[in-house]
Amino acid sequence: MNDRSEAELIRVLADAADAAPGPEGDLVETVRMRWRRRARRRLQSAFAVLGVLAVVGGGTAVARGAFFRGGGEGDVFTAVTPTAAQSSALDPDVVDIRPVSEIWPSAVFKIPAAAADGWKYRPITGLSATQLLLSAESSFEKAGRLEVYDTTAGRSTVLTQMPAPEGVKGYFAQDVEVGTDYVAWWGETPNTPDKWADFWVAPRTGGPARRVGEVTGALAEVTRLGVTRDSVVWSAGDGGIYRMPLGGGASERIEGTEGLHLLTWPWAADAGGKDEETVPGNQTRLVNLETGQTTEVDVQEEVKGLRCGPVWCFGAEGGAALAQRPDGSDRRTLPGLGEGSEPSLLTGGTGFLGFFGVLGVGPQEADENRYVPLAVVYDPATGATAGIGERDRNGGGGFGVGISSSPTSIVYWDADEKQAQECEQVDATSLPLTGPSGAPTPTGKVRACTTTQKGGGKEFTVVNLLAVPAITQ
Amino acid sequence: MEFTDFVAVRGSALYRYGYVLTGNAEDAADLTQEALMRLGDAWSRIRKKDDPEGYVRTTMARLHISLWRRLRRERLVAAVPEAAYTDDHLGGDTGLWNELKTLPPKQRAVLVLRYYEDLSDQEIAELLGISRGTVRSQAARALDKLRVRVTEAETEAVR
Repeated sequence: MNDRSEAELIRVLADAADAAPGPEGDLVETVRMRWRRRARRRLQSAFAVLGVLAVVGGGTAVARGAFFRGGGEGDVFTAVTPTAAQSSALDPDVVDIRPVSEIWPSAVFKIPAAAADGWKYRPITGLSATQLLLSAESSFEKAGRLEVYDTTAGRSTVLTQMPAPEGVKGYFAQDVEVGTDYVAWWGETPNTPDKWADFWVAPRTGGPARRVGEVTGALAEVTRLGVTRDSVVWSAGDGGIYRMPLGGGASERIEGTEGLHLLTWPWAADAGGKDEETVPGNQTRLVNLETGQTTEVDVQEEVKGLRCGPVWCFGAEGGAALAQRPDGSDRRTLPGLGEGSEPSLLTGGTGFLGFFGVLGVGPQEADENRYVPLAVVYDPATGATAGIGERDRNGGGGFGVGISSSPTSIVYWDADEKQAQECEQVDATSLPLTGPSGAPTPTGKVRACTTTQKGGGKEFTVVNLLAVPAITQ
Repeated sequence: MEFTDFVAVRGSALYRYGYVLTGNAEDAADLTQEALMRLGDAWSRIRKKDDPEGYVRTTMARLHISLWRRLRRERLVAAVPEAAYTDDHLGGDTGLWNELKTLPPKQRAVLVLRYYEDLSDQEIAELLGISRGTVRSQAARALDKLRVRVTEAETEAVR
């Protein structure tokens, strides 16, 4: 029985706002601190966060190339309660996804989570089918060197040190990019409001790093980095792609790149940048900056967040993940994948793959007899779907993706990290109702659980998509 | 105006909005800080062209319903509402305030935008990037759960 009025609701909200306990501490200072904490993932934060991994220190792992969800009908997945009927947006056929270890066993590796000296590893991307590029961090998000882990030998070697430039305090190296001849990265002082960044390169085969140069102002808002034989190239936050000669010297905007964002050299898109999550949009053009060739993307009306590489595009339509070619052919939606989540691009041996969160799976649906992943790698060429991580019985779980500037080939998680659950009996009416209209509503006492992370930190399970066997067609 | 001035002047109001959106102090602070940080990133552009407060409020509403916050909340507190929660400062219907906590984020966001921010359904639809029909159905579902009576006349008047 509806016994309250809208006026009461208005008053309760206004009263709550008035009675809100004040924010603790100096908000300006807190925001500054947050900038700092975001150091390592500064630009990735423009993308949505899909999962959480212990290695990130209670922080967040990131997924690249994501976009803000554009809505859609249906229930919002909230992570709760092994109780009432919870809507599953998933097509049962699609949900029956097998773990990546079964789909591409040759691409799955175990690597230590830390170096012998205790520095923590953070996967960047695969260099080849057998080599993983890792950054080693002396403290949280403070990358100090690059290492190459050989999955055949089970051993890591130092590629190069990542020194801070002299006289620069609070310096953090940011995204690392792998080019043909060089590995490049950029760094900044994220805990200051200064708009400043610098660029470094080291030979891909190993050797001392060299600083290429520095930039200030809008140019220092680096969103993505590339490295060619003779230059570093990067996207600025508001669009435009710039280059600086490896030998140093003035930077210049690459002609005709106004409003473009680097996808992965030499490809650029007219979507992306730092507002990606809050300003959703479709990519309508793909530009090859080496040849000047422009490909128009066929975007259907209901499609959201479309992102295209040269061969495949990924986006969402009607709450389902979508794949198509830039010219609109081979379109297919993937019911059950990507509902409420963001697709992103990953690099595989044969090109880009789609990467989607799996949502809408209620905790009661994952049990000993049923594997439910946290995310899925989708290969549009073969239609293969490979499950990443494993959803806990309480509905949670975490994974990370490699932090290279271009789409990474690495997805990883900590299989030993468990979520410990503490449960208590509570009144059912105090719990969120997430079922569809007309679904049975729980009544009486039900079990509600709180989750904390336990264990982990020793070993990562790493999927290197460059090690997925070539498809024989 | 400088970014820090904006935060100093508007921070408290934004935090209150965050509190109404999220229902608790911790999430309100997190949401406000995250949105302000993003505003800071875009400050030079937003200050010139747009309304910074509108930008940050929109960001807060979108973040609130976005996936990463849901997953994060899941990790942190498993999204179980504080059953024993009471707020001595709330003179009015603490029952209704507590029941608001049981709504999924999107439903709650729609109600807050409609009844606290006083936006039209069309404005809410644009802000959240969903259809007006979704706004209406989410609001109707939420109001029904909260046992809030909506008369046609009120609907017209509010809209």
